[in-house]
Amino acid sequence: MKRAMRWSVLVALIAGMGLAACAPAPEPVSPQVVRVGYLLADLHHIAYAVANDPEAGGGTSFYEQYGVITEDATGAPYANGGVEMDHFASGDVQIGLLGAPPAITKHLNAGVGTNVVAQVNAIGSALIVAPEIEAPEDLLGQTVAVPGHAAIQFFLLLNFAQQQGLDISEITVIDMPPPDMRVKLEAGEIAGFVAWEPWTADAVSTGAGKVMATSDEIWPDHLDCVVAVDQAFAEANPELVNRFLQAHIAATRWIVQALADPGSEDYEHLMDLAVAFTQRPRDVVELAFTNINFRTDLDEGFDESFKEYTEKLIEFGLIPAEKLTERGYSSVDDFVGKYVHPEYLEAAGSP
Amino acid sequence: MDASRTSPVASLRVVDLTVEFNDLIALQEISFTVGQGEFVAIIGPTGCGKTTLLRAMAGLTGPTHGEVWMDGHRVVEPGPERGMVFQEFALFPWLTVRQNIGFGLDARGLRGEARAQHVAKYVEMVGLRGFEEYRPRQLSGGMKQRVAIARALATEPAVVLMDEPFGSLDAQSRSDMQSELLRVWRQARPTIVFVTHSVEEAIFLADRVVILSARPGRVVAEKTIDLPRERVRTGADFNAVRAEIMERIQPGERAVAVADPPVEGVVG
Amino acid sequence: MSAAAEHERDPGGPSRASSRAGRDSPGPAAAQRKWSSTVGVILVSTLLFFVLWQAVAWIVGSPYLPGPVETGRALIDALSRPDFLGFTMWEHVRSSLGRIIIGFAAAAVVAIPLGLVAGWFRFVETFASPWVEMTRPIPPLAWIPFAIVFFGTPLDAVFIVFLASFFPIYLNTVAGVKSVEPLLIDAARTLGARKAFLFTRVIVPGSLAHISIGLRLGLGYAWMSIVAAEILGVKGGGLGIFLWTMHEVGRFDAVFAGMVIIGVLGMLLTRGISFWRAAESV
Repeated sequence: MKRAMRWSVLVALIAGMGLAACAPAPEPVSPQVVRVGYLLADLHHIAYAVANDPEAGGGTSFYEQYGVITEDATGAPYANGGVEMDHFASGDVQIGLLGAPPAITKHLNAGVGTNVVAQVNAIGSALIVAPEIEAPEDLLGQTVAVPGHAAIQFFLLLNFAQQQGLDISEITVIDMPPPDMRVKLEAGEIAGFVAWEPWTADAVSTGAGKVMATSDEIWPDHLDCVVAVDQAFAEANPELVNRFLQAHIAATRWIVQALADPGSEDYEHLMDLAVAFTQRPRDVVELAFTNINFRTDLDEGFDESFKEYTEKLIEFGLIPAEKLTERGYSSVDDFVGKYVHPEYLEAAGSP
Repeated sequence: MDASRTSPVASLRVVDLTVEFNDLIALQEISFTVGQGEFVAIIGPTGCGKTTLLRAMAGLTGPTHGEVWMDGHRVVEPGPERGMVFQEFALFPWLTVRQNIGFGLDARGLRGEARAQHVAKYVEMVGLRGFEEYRPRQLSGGMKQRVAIARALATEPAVVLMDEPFGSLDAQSRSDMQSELLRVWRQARPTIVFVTHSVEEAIFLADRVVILSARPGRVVAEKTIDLPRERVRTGADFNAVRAEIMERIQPGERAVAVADPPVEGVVG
Repeated sequence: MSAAAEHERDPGGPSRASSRAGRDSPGPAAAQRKWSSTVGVILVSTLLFFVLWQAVAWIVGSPYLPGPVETGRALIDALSRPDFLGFTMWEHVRSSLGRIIIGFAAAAVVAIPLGLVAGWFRFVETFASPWVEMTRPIPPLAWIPFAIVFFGTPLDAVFIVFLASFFPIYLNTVAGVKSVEPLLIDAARTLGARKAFLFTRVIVPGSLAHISIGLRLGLGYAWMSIVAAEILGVKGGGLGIFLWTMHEVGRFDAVFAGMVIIGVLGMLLTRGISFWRAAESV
């Protein structure tokens, strides 16, 4: 019996070590190349394309100017933020653009080792419904699509349902990449969807659907996408992260200035980049831009938003409250304080 | 339909019956008759085709040449008028003793009180009272055999074909069942064709004994048993008949291994 | 004459393999000891399982492999409160079970008669065989796009379950018919059974052992397919939806809890069939 016990322990140990060994380890990487994650045809992430674009940078791209070489991470662009977090966990993504909710949810629930270092945008989604849907109650018993259940779009839907007094169990929520959503809406397979721009503008401009609520209406001025980094990567390459953010800030500034000056060369060029990035026609992206607020700052408002999101995610049941302590945080404030690392942005210069 | 038989008794005529399986000749030009209400025993060495003969008479195996006639009609398929007791019992494992025995009655559509009484009668007859609700797998070999007998007799067929029906019984039960069978036969007078290894059993039971040779089975001889019943197994005339029959079987008719060709000097 | 004298077995009840094996043991006391030692073994083994699981989880220390305690907590939570989809575990189970039962029952209703006929009439079996052999290897999940378009929610998930359970039931039913001993058919015919009576009173009961195997297999496949089929998106929740969305948000404790539920339910269902079989055959 003793012998059997020893064998069992040995086997368990070997199995355990084998499993642990499979976990990704931070690998030494050539100092300049960064594997970047971002979302599929998501206009919020246009800064990535802009920072890679030589013309926008005035000859050389912003990334080049700051000595950063980027490449799409394996599997990028991703169908939703939850998937991107999975790719953080597997080591594919070193720096990524994604929604704040998945960055919170998957870190707390699944322990994905990331930190948030900058903002990407605020607002920029909407709940689109089929033309015959008049009131929120009409969605009961219907199917609504979201990019994924970890995504901010589902989070917004939960908020909307709560605000409207709708029982979410009576709405069938399915996952689908935003490019597929309009087609399904037209086919009548779904009654509505929540997606990032330009897919809401796309549905509206083709007449496939109408806006029932913009995300801004559901949660005014809400924090949307953030820049997240792999913890170990950032600790090993803080300089690189700084430079990446400098490029990101420059690109974002360029976007804001271009949008402020319609008809300018930069504006036209931005539209071209957006059309290429999202594969949507010019009028659609133009409309979509009006629903997005590009910004990079990590001010108090950001922390407040981050905290509210976390509390709300816990309230909705996406994150069990115990997870905070399990991950080693004493409270939500503690979590926000430790999870958001403003020092990279500060080093990179003001937004 | 009610419990009584469609035809009271029938005669059987086997005419030049030959049964071949691929290259194997099991039965060769067998001819004999069984009269109405007659009790005929068929004996012969192991492997001589007794079972095949019985199956052909039942209509389960088709003849390669020749025919079997029952009362002027050719036998081409099995039917309830030729009941059969199989050597391997062939009880339905998912049915109880009572349900097995009543199977033929069910097939006929008999129901209710009449059926229940009928079944009870045959349960009693084979001495299985108290075991009606048992499944075959809970029974010993001897008991299973009795169920098989009761089941075949319960439909009171015109012809009963029995393939070594008492083979699994101990000596006492065997002797009891033999007497019981005669009693039933005397009452209803079906035509019985009874296959057995035991010469003594054949003589005790049958009006006439048909002796088959080793494979390919042919009729070696027939012997009418004139002794009055109840026959005494130890009686002198009984022994005389036994000796006579053993004589007929003995020379060159020993049981041969299944794969061997027919022995030289077979009387056929 | 006494049949009792011949009767070797203990007539006291259903004869099962275990009691047949213990035929020579002295009596009720021994049987009792045997039973309680079996229960003892099962208890110890189960305990060891949980201990080992906890140990492995502790050693690996990853959120992707929760231990039994965490899983248990998530399970209790799921049972007592609605999740972010708005359903409690009971509702998920009820929805999935409903789809499984309907799909499985539909498969049985179609496959068993078809199998009986095919087993009995060689021509039917031969004729059907290319159809069966060509569709069988296709994983039910491959039918999902077709199912969505032609059936829509919720029938699409039911259809997938149907497909998954159909083939084992059909094929085992055919085998069951063929397994009926020819001698039994001979005996039945000499007792006057023909056609319909022969079929219903001999072929069908004789095939039941195989049919129940087919049903158990079919149920297993139905379970496996329901989880994936529900990811398509179905009304009223379901274990598949639960597993998928929980995995999406990284709640692996809940994923494991869902797996436990599936395992337990699957076991109960197949046990149910075996139990029914055993009861029937006594």
